[in-house]
Amino acid sequence: MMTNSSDRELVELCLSGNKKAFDVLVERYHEPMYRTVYGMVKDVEQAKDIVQIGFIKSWEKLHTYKADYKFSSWLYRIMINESLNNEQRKKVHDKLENQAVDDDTPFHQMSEKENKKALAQSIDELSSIYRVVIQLRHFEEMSYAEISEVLDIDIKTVKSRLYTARMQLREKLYNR
Amino acid sequence: MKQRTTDIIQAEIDGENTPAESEEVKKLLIHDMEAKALYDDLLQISKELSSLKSEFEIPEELAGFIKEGISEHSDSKRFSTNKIHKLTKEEVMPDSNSFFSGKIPFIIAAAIVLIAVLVYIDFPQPNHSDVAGTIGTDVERADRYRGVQMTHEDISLDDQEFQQVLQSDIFISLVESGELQALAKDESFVNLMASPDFNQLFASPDFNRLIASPDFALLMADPSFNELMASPEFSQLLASPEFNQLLASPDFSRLSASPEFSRLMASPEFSYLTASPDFNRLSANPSFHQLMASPDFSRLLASPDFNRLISSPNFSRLMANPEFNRLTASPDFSRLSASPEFNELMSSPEFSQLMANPSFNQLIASPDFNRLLASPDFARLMASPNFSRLMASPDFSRLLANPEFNRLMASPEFSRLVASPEFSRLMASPNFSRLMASPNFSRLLASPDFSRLAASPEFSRLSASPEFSHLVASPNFSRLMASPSFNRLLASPNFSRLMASPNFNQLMSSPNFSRLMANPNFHRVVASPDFNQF
Repeated sequence: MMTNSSDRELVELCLSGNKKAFDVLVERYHEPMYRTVYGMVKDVEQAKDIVQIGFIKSWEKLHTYKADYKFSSWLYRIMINESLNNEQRKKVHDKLENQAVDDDTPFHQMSEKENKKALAQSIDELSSIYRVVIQLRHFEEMSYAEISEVLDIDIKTVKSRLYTARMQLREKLYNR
Repeated sequence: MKQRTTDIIQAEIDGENTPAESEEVKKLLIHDMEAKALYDDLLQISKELSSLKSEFEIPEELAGFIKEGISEHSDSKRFSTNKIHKLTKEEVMPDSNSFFSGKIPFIIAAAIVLIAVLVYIDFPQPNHSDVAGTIGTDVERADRYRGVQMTHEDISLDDQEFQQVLQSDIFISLVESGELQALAKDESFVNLMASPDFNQLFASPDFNRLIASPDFALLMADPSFNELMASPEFSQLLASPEFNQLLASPDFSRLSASPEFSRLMASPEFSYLTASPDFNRLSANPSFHQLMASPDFSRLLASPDFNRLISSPNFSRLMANPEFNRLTASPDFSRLSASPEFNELMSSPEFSQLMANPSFNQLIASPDFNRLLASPDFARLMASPNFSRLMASPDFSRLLANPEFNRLMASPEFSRLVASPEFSRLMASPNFSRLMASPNFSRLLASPDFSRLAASPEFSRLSASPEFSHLVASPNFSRLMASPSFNRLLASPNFSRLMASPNFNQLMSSPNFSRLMANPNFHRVVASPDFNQF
């Protein structure tokens, strides 16, 4: 049964032309990938598109994947890069169209509770390099080492970004 | 608070401390109130953050949506995104220029290399009576084509340079490999060799100066070049009908024969741009190719008003303005609109003319144009960091300010080419996109040897020479490019193998080969009627 196969075995099957093996990888990882992307782009439809594009890219570039990394780390990296590109695009778009950013962020939609809403809003206000470490640490429950692998930064930088992000959240939440 | 203190407090919350460090934190929290307050806040934030995870709702059928996208993509259909991103017309302009600075020159460069390859392949053939004094009689062309193996003893030539090349181990292994024989049997190849245009070019001093130049030798020996030649993307493009249709189209011939084009090729700005990493990154961007392939974009580029605008000095000045270049990277549109360059452009007669032009307004109102602006491909390109970097690069500004470039943009040949269906078809061809996106291609463009060749006086002279223009514009050349047998040849594994063969590349980059190319006896052989009859 392919569903019990390891990521590495599935990747090898994909590379030998077995497309079903990639479907198993999609089933395995679409939820965490969507969560990460959604947290970054703040739009359900965009997140779906980006996750789809990210999986298509990973399917296309599978031959470039190096087994030294975890497959999931590689996939996260693709998704995060896509999300960051999307963010850049959105910035340009918002500027050019002179449109105000939609207040109704995904986190706002998530919960009606005031404290969660404030926290969600504070996360949205973080810049993407800080928001992504928060997401990987708290939503994907990654260790420092795993975050370092996904973002291709050293552990010291992971710690420092996490700390800065948390300090900014602390400032926003408790010193308002 | 000390860095180490904050580090271990955070690591404690994240479960990343060693037992000894955890013990240290515990003690610290008892005595240090500031540390305790930080710990409590971070812990609270962490708990709340982790509780947000459960609030995410995964859309139904997400996995199915992804799989569907992969299937569609595998079937070579374009996958689409829902988000529409509309941009203003001002943003279209800079992009239009960057494309042409890269692709067509490459095609020309590739054509030169191809010609050089063909010339090389052909040269062992002569064995004619009128050159018997120059070339020994032991080299039997017919034998070689029948696949009889040559040895060192079979080759005995009076001419020093012929001898050196033909008796080299490189050449012998190449001949023995069978790749040459397979190539030389091709009818299209023989026809091109026999054409007067080809021989005129071949005998021209400009061509020979280029082939004999150290820059050419360096390029031939460049690993990036060899990798590109060996890459399937390159072979696929060369063999693709779209590429050949473009090369065979009269528009292409007219453009390559135009003085503006030649001058641009010779300009240092062009070399700077093609060698710049920004340009190479952009060349590899798939969104860029999708945009280029759109017929709407071609139509815009071909509009005379558009060309008048971009060739105006005001436009060049705006392009060179750092604030404008920062626009896509860190959008500060208000600063830009306050800049004198921007206002000058807006109030320039060229801009007004364009705005007042009915065909421009028709274009803006056309569904095609709006589809282009609204297309995700266009949005992706505009927002891509590669594009921003290119816009901000000094190389790009220099090119835009180059009068030759502006003249080319405004030339009717250029407009016609861009508007031609052959051009659109090439842009839309997956082979072309694959080549442009291949790392081999980027590496070649970034290779100093390639830039040096493109910037060399020999290259400039050749691309400006009437012989070269005649050849490219000649019906023979077009016929060859469009001929199925030539395309079959290019697509053949033999051709790819030859291009990728280290022996071949070594030979091409050898000083002996360069000397041979510059040898007047060799020209006499190739220009002789017997050679043409062959």
